[in-house]
Amino acid sequence: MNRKGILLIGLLVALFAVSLVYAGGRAEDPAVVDDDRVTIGAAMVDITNPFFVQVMEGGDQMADALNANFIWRSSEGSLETQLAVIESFIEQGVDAIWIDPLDPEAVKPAIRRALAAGIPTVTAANLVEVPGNVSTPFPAYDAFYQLGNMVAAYLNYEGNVLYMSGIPGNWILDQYGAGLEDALAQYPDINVPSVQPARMDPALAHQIMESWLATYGPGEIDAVVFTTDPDMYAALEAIRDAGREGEFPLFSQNGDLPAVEMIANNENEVKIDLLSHGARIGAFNALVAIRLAEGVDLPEVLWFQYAPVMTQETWDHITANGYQMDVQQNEPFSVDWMSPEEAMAIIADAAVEFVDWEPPVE
Amino acid sequence: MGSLKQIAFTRLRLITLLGIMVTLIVVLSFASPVFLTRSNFINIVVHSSVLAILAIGLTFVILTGGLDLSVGSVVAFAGLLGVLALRSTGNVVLALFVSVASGTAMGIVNGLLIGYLQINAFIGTIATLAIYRGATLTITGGHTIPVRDETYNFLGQQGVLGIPVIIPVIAILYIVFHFVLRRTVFGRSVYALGGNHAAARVSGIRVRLTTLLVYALSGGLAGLCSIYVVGRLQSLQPWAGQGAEFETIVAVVLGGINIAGGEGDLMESLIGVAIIAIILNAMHLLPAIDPFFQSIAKGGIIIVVLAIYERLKAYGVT
Repeated sequence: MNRKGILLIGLLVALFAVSLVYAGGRAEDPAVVDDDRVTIGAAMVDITNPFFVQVMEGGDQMADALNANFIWRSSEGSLETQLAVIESFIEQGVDAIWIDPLDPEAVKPAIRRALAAGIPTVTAANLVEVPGNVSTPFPAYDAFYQLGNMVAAYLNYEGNVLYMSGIPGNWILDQYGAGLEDALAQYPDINVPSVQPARMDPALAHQIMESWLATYGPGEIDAVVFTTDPDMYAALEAIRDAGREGEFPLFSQNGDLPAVEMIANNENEVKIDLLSHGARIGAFNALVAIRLAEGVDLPEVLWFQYAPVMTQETWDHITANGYQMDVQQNEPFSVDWMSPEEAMAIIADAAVEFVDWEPPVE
Repeated sequence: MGSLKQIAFTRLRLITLLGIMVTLIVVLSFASPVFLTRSNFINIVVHSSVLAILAIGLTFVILTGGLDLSVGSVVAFAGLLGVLALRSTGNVVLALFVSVASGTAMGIVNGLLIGYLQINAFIGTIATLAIYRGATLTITGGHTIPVRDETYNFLGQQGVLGIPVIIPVIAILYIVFHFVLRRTVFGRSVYALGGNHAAARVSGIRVRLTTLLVYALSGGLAGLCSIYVVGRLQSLQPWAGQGAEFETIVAVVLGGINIAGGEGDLMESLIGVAIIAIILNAMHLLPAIDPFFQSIAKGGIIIVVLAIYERLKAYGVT
């Protein structure tokens, strides 16, 4: 084969490869399939993370319910990539952009560019103060402040509480820790002998739990609070391996189905799990983005709602011990509590909870 | 093989690269109505700015047969030192100087480890990657540092006549370093070192010094990059530049630089960067590409291009 032949084959192969991409792009191009539907560009933090997979599932459920199109793009954990994704959405002229910001400050210029181009934006999880942008921040501090009060009430305001925290430096996870510590600090007979960052790494969570079990003997741990359910699952393995299951109650956050099922079935002493859930977050933000794309005027701050999931028995127990909702910062917090059955219905189809939602009037 | 024939072969590789790039552009211009717009073209260049600048330094390093995996961490650490200088003195000129100088110093450390202590480049720069990133995280505590400065803002966000400042900067850098590589004694030393270390030493080339200089250049350019990154993000991100080294190496090799050293050209690296940038832009622009499929498409296209090179090599095109 001569060099011209090689060159020709090379170009044909490249053409073929790109054509595959091209074909994929044309086959389901939302703008081509249905011009009547709104198209939302969604810049996720990292779509390989199971949490964001849940977020996208919830978003797709809402998109199906409201007949909208979503273009999901991953920022691959890089702020530079996130800005590139947002700028590409502006270029495409999508109807609205949903951003899960890697950094609330650094995305502001890109948001301003989108708004200047007439494209409304919604930023999830964080408060991003750009005039015209709608933020749906998590009331993270209040959520864990409430959880701390519930833990204290559950223990009748005395005992040793261990806390497995998140990633130091992550604003939301730090807010969780601050809320919990402030709540527990109100009760002089509640001690927090150890706070260890599991960094949202289940393997590390397992190691930390092993160390705690080696350090604190039977009767020396009265409760353990986890930042996320995957940390709790890993810690449960360590608790089982040590033969100490059922010795102390567990409290966590996420509202993953296995954790909610444990509450429903009264397994492993899992007592309360704060329902945030990726799919629920996805459905809510998808709803906000779709409404913005449709031209609905929304308040610039819409707090996302956490819901503590527990059994009637647990609720009765903590209220009998004097638990009352006491919001510190980001009112409104949420509903008082939710049964595991209600939580499971929401997890099965996250769109159900919000599809008839009416925005608050400013 | 005669020199004329060699030139023809070199051009053939360049033509292949350009052919692939043009094919991508033509196909994508049909696939997306916005691909061939002026603003999208600016987006492509801006989004690949870090890659383009780091690729210059890495081209020099790889041509000597070396490797620099620390450049992403240098971007973060040099950026941090510049921002700290700005915060403590308020002097932005000093801050910009500190970023470039500290990046160069970090590159010199790499050069000393590899050139003088004879530590393997892969291992040595993995170690400094960890050290520079660790130092950044230790100092910042993992937190972002907001930067509100007109000069940084101008360099990272603004443009002249609608053209972002970074575009002419990249153009000038490529012209200058293409000249350095092709027309100076230092450039010829770089090629000679990558071809054969022992032969280069025998022919009077100062192997250790040349090694030190290419790593210093790579670090200095990463330091320069950090200024742009801080300006674009209006903040110092402790994880800035993470993974940039791998993407840059792929772009440089895609451009035809022999990973073993001694062969290649800076302009080919630039085309490699352009191809990667176009592919990434296409992934963002084509709405129905499944986000999980993107990695497969990216990897697949890179393999196709590298396979073409291997076929060309098999037929004597270097």
